[in-house]
Amino acid sequence: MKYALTRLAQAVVILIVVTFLTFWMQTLLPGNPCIVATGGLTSDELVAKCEVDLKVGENVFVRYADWGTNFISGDLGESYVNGRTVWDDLKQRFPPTGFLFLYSQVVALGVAVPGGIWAAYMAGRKAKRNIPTWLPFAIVGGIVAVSIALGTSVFTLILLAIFATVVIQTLRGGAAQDQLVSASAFFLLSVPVVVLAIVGQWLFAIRWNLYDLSGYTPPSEGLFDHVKSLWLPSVVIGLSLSPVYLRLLRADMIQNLQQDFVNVAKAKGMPPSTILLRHVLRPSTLTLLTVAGLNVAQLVNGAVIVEVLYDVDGMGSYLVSKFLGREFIVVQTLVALIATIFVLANLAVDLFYGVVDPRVRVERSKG
Amino acid sequence: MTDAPPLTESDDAPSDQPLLRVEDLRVTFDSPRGMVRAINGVDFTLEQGKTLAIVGESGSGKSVTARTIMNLLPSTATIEGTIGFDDLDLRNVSKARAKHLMGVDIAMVFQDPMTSLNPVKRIGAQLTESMRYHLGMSRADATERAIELLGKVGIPSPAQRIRQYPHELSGGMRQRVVIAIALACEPRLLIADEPTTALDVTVQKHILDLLGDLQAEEGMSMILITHDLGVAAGRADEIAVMYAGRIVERTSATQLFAESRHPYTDALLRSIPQVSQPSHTRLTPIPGRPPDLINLPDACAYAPRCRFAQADCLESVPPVQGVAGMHEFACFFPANTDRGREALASNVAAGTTAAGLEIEGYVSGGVS
Ligand SMILES: Nc1ncnc2c1ncn2[C@@H]1O[C@H](COP(=O)(O)OP(=O)(O)O)[C@@H](O)[C@H]1O
Ligand code: SF4
Ligand SMILES: [Mg+2]
Repeated sequence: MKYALTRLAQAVVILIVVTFLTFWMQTLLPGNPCIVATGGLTSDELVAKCEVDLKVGENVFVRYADWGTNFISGDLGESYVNGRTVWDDLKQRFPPTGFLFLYSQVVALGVAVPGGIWAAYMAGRKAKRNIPTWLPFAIVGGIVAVSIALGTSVFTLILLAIFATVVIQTLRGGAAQDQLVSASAFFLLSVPVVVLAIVGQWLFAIRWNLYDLSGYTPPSEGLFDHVKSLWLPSVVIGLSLSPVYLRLLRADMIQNLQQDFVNVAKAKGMPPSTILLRHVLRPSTLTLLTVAGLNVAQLVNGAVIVEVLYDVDGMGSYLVSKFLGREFIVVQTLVALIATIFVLANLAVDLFYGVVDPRVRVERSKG
Repeated sequence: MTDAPPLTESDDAPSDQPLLRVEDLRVTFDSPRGMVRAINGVDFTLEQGKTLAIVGESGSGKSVTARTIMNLLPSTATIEGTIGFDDLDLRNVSKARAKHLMGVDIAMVFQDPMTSLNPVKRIGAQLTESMRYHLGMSRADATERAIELLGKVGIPSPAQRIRQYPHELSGGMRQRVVIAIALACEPRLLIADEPTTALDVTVQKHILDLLGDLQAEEGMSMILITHDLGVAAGRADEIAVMYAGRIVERTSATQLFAESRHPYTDALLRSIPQVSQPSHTRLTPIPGRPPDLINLPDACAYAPRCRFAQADCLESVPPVQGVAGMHEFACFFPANTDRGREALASNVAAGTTAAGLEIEGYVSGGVS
């Protein structure tokens, strides 16, 4: 408990420092923020109101204190361009991004956790069948040759080659299956999100018509339509995150599978599934948790590209539009909000370590 | 007696076969440096209710032998030979039988209690797990038995302990928990691989005594692995001395301490301050190092360190000889025999052995 309070105090200090620094940098920008933001398009009264609100001309500490008090009391300010409050905008912009984040994490973990466990398990096993190295190349080469002769499309050809590789590695069994999973993860890791997003869009929205590019539907308008409106961008972000999770989990699992307590569990005659899921998985999730916490930053930066491409009006596109519109005081508020979520999420992860590993609790109580 | 080892005498053979029968066991590991020949033809048997001590320096293949029996070797290992347990061939057990074999009929206690327990699981869960899986016990029944077991292995206030995590217990207490886990399903064979090496000297004796008491109570067979001949003294019925993946001498404990045959055993005995009293001193004072298991010579593996070594020893691997099943040893010039005494005397006279080891005024059990 003492530990939790200390960490909370630390988090508050970090938030004050981060928000102050961004606030201060924002005041260094040339020009009157009220005029810059509106590009001189609004009335003089609005500019005057804005100057009063923002205490333009006062020193930076006074202005920061004023902004901070408002922020804490829930007054997030307003846009002097269209008169809407930031709070109103957020009510509209946050849910799509929040859901996108949630679903993409579910997809990422849904792929990475079983994949990582499977790969780690297979890595330590002998091959089931002895298939010579040249044979898969010969088969895939044969498929390519036949396809070219028959004039099939490049796309079908790639699918066939992937299919053949999967079948061969699966037949080989053991470490070959780990290689297959790890190589796929590595491939995914090296594909930029943009490419994944564009390919996904082309395949599912255009070629197969399985996804409507009609923007975000809130859950209140039907759960099915809601999921339908977000599944593809969620899968795209999820797939791009999954290789990192998978490799972290696999590495930690392989390391923990070498531990003596695994031999003890085997000597007890426990089946592999029990050993993997009940003995090794939990202590192997610490790194994964840490990185998942850090990925909260993806809530905005990573999602921008996908949000723009998939026409989701979320936080990413909101932040970009405010930034391009030079409404820096709104940007400041958004940055503070994101930083708060980020710090709190990581605080939660930090406290969760103690739940996962009882030894962490002991170390912490020692101080 | 179809499964009897080839050397067993027919006249004195017991009517029913031994519980564990290991025949010509060979284990190699693929490694980046080459093939590691860890076990090179190991034979032994173990009767129901008896204790066999396997003694040898670090790296001699004791743990690999244990892990082979337990089927715990990594996928880089290649195994040859047969392991008979009761009426089973342990290397070809049906899936259905294998499901409830390890942990039920055969159990193992490992060397380091600090790493043997899962750090994120409570003691109780680790104890009840195998009973629930193998014996189909309910959670309540298994917990009750877990408390009983913890009491049996000498853990105070067992009912509270089952709620604790391993890090809340001392090393000695953890090893008691590990022993309790091994005993959970009442195994017929218990393999203890250096169960006290990682513990404080004061705790070692308690754990060894506990193992002895439990074995007597349960009528289990036990393989007690140790690098300390002193630990084996007074606790083992039979002792097998291992060197470079072979059992170089095997006989009853009394016979071994009275009249060892292999020069390596002889040197081991010499490294214990007082043979009559069990001790925990490490067996290191034998000069030289064990051979590289990747390049094993076609000779006696002990020759470079042996004070008895003659030219013959460098030409071929000494076969097992002696009285089969009673006192076996693999040496051309056994200690405490005329042949050995002569060999040693000629080496002392020459000041060096055939393998080039320099010796001066060595007093051996061979010169009496
Ligand atoms: N997984 C493995 N891969 C390669 N060599 C191994 C492996 N396990 C054990 N060995 C080798 O086998 C030999 C015997 O090891 P071990 O049985 O552990 O010795 P000890 O008698 O000390 O228990 C050692 O030389 C060791 O290096
Ligand atoms: S006397 Fe020869 S065979 Fe016997 S241990 Fe020494 S070297 Fe080996
Ligand atoms: Mg060992």
